[in-house]
Amino acid sequence: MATWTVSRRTVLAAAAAGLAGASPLRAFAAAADPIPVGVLTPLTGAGGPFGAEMQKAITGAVERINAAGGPLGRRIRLFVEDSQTNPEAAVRGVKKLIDVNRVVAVIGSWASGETLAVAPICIENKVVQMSTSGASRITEIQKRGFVYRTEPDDAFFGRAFAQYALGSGARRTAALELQVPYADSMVAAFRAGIEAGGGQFAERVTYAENQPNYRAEVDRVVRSRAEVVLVAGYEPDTAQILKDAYQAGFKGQFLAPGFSVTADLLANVGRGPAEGLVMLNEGVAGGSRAHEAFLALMGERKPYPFASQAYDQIQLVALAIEAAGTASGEAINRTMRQVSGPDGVAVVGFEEGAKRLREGQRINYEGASGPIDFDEHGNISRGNFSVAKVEQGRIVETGKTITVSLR
Amino acid sequence: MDLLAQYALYGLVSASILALPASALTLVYGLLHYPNFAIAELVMVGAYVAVALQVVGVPLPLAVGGAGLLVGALATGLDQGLFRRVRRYGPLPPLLMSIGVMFILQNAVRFVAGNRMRAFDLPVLRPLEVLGLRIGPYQLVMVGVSVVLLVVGHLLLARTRIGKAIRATADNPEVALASGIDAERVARIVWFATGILAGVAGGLLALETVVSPLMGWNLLLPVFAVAVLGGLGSLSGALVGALIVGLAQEWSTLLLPATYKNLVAFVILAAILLWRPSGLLGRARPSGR
Repeated sequence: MATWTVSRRTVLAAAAAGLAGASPLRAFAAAADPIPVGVLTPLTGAGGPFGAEMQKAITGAVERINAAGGPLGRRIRLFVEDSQTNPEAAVRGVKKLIDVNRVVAVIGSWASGETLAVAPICIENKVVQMSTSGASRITEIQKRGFVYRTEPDDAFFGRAFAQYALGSGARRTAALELQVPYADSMVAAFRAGIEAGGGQFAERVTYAENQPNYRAEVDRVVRSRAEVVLVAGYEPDTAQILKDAYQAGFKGQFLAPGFSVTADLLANVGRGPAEGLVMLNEGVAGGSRAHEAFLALMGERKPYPFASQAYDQIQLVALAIEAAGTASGEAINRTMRQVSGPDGVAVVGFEEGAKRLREGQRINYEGASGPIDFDEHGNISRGNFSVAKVEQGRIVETGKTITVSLR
Repeated sequence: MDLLAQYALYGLVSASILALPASALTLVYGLLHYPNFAIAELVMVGAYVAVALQVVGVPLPLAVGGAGLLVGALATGLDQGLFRRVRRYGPLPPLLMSIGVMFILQNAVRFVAGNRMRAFDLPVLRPLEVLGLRIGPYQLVMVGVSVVLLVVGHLLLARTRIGKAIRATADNPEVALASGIDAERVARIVWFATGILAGVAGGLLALETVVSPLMGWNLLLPVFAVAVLGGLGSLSGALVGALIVGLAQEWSTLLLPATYKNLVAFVILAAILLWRPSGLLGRARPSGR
């Protein structure tokens, strides 16, 4: 055994000497080394369908980025972990990505629970983290830097609804709100937006989940004579409310976030109650150049909004590395806001952006999910929403988009 | 005033749905002296059966009636296959067994039908306006069917031979047995009746709500509140309890946020239990033992 120990020491010493001697050479080799970037998306669990799409978007984008030469002339190499829509699995995944793969950034975490669990680990290790989670609580963690999200905060949703309602000419509004945190911040922002725009907010009704009916709740809204009513809930209660409102003779306009309305809901409530319902979907910059490029990459099926956000996340990481001149988490954290805009020449992808950067220009990435301008806390300061409507029992995109800015 | 009347109408609709399973609960308790926790799941099964029948083309009245008969058969089967075997060990074993049956039914439906929400293939109708009050056509049907069923049940119990046999067995099983009443037959008939009540209640409930495997679970506490409030074992108590809970819940929303609806039911329940532990129309002590 002694011989072995000696021989290992010798090898180590030789290796160290070799490394020291070859340091200029090594620097050269590093420049050509791929840049490790971690992808942490849910492939199983509730987020499974979204995570698979997000990965497809990221992989496709990286192929294009590498084909264009890659940031600083280096290729991006992806390391993928399944977060299982489970904070514990997400933590195991992110530790492996950081400790083993030495990634400079981790993109793609989906559920707020995952993001809240992995963000502190990324901050400690000075690794940039990007998510598609909506909970307002994430902002508190983001204040420590390194953590960004491309999903509009729930408050943006409320503002967007207010903007839609005011734009449709409504004067009197009301809201029905499930007793959960997301609905609370969404409705508060809706009310603020309506009142700031000169409209009236007549009634705010909070309801419990799993009730056999919501007659009394709906009745209060009907009696408030509101023309537009926001329903902030999940699918089962939204379905029941639409039915009860129809049966109570409500003839006004309902608004709901896109994630609470599915084809199942439409089948269950029937034609009458859902007809004319307006939904807002987050994270789609329909018709923009970046969105077209993104769609071309995704194939024929219409992707969920989270895929376009994942696409933007990898573009931003690549551009931030190019702008910083080094590939490290700290460097990306330093230049992220320089490439996200809003100041600078608008660019829609890495190739275009890197060219401008090399010319010494400042750039503003305008993504597939929206303009993505990060504020001081790493939240997008403008949210982009597409407007869809139920027509003849089907969800139809109106082609309209609403952009919300909190400033 | 207007509002009070409108909400009273809503309360009546809620009461009509609560009264049926509460009566079923109270019937079994009156006769066999244990609460059947699976009752709300029988309502849920009834809702699924009615929706399944209606969606494949069975006319609505037949679908709801069929749900009543099928759940009646299911309830009788549960009693004969499971509850009868533990009945003689006192109230606790059948009570625990009913909790087990509750979970089995809930998950069996989930296994067969999945977690998706379902509903009747019926157009949702606009309300009728009578004297400035709104009521939906389906809600009228719910109240109507429920009232008819309760009246028929009451007459059967009060006026027929089998009704007399049920009451006799509930009052004093030993004497009833001694006077030649077949106690097992009485139990089978009562279980079948509770199944009909629960199954039809499910069918009616499906008229206004979306059907999911959890709907029974959500109904369980209100149904118990109604039955205990009225007095376990008393049919008219179940009716009075349903009206009180239904009205109080709807009226409370005039003063309190609607999320406190369920709380109101339990505050009333707690108050009545303090003042009259046997329930409003219950006897001072459970009969028979």
